Amino acid sequence: MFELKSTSLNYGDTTALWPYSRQFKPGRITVLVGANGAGKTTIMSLLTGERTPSTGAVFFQNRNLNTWKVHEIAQRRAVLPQRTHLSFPFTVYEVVGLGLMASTRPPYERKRLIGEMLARVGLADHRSRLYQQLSGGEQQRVQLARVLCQLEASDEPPKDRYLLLDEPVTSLDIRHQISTMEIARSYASQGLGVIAVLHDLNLAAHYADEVIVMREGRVLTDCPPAYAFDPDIIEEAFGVRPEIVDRGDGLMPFISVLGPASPDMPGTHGTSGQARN
Amino acid sequence: MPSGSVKATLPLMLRGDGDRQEVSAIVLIALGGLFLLVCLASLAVGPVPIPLSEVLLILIGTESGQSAVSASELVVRDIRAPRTVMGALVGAALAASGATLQSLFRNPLADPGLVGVSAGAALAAVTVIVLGVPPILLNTGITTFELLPPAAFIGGLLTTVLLYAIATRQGRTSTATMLLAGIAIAALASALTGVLVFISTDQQLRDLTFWSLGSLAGATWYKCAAIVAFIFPALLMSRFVANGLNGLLLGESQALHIGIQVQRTKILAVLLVALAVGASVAVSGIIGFVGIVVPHILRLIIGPDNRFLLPACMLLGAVLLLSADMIARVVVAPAELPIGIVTAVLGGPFFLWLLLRQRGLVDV
Repeated sequence: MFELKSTSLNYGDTTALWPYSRQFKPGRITVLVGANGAGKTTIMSLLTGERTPSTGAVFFQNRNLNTWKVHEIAQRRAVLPQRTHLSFPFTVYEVVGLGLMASTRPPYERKRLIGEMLARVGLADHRSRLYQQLSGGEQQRVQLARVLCQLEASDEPPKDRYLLLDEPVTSLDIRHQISTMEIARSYASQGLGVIAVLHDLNLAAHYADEVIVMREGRVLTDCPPAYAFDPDIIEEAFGVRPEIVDRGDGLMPFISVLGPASPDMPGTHGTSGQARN
Repeated sequence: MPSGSVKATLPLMLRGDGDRQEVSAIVLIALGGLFLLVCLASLAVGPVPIPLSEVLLILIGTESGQSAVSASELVVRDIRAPRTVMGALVGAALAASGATLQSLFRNPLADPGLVGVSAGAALAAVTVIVLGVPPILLNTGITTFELLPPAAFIGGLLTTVLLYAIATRQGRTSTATMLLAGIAIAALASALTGVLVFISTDQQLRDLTFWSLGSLAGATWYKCAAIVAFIFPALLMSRFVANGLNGLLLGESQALHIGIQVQRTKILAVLLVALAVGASVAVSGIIGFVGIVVPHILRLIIGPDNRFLLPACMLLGAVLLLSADMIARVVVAPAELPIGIVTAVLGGPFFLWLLLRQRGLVDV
């Protein structure tokens, strides 16, 4: 289990994340949403160990994250970044194989895993193509296959494995946005922990078990999507006025944006409000 | 996407399933064979041609059995053999350092010359040529000539350490800062070298010119022994940084995510480059383009996987430098061209072609 304990992060005078404590439990999809600079990616970078907290600590399996060896943690959590640029002509197969760096699997099993994961993201017939030749969306799916390879090669029980997705669907078309989130959901139902940053509130509403709404380094609300996506909260977090359409069929409400936030909303103290005045 | 130009960059021997490990193994074996052939040729070719059969006999040692040592044997044993060994070591070192730096900087155009390592080594050597042996060392009886290799090595190492110190904050090395600082350091070192050249005497100027163009002439077993101590550990180290460098190609944070010890990989890679380039510059001056041309050709064939790329670079680097040296020896015999001119004539146009052809691909 991932856990933040009074964790905060400052860059010089700016506070990217105010002290925050939370447990990220396995078996569920936890989604972080918020405007740009709200602190979502900051939380992500603390969980991945890229950044060291200014105060407090990050724990993984009840051990401080910085006491884990790099390859040990790589066998337990995989991270899909927003985008990956490669300057050298790797084949798709070779890029996916990079996910097996910390693995001790024998060559034939690596080969099988790489093939399976490429099939899972729908790129089985692209394996010998050069990564640089693919479109942005295809590149992102190759990276997803690499990340899945890393998770699948692990011998740890599902509950000790985590999939971290930082804006995984930004460059994908609608069909592959859905298929990517379906993959995330299937891992969560197998018992793995999934933590994702999403910009699309409807995707978040549909796939999240828990939603953390952030604004200016603080958490506004942290609850199931049905409660998190309240018009007032969305208006405060994003500075826009939403309409939430309940279709009454038991499905998640559909969120659409009507326009900028109304002037009396607390959210308008933020950047968007100031820009308007 | 400019599909036409992209097609042209397809690897030559891409296998159907995208896995190039077998191709790489075959290429490595072929390069090993080619390397041995070129070594033999390098012993045979020169102002005085010696037949291959005689070279082989000399190598086996049957020739010297009965009588006095023949002229051919002297040439092969004391002139061409050390030169061949030195050429192979320098070629391997330069090509492997080039490939290492390119992975470290995630930039296919990076080169030991670019980050100032060569310039730093050269500055130290030129200082020794122009200013002579420092007073502290006068009592030791060391000559200017003998001081050159260690000075160039120390210069290369200091530059690399300085570069690293500038680019590292709180245990993290910024590649961009390192690249830019390298360019600045190289410019500074070149300027200081220029000042030294300006105040040098005519004889020193001759030495400097010779040196700055790069040459394998004057190879001795003594020099070989001196650089083997630096280059061999560097080449061995490449085995242990190859995986880490592969990971770094994804970017530093992702390298960390897949289980690479980023900081350790970077330190080892920098050390590898300093050792290899410092030692090479010390004995052969600045020989350009090997570090850029060789990795590039090989990436087209076997891909960028450093586990195969680095050893292949060593072999092809040695092959290329020994071939260039043979050209340098025979083209204006009995005089000889500095080898740096040969590699520049071959490598310069290649580099330009690379730039032009890559333009469409760089931002894809």
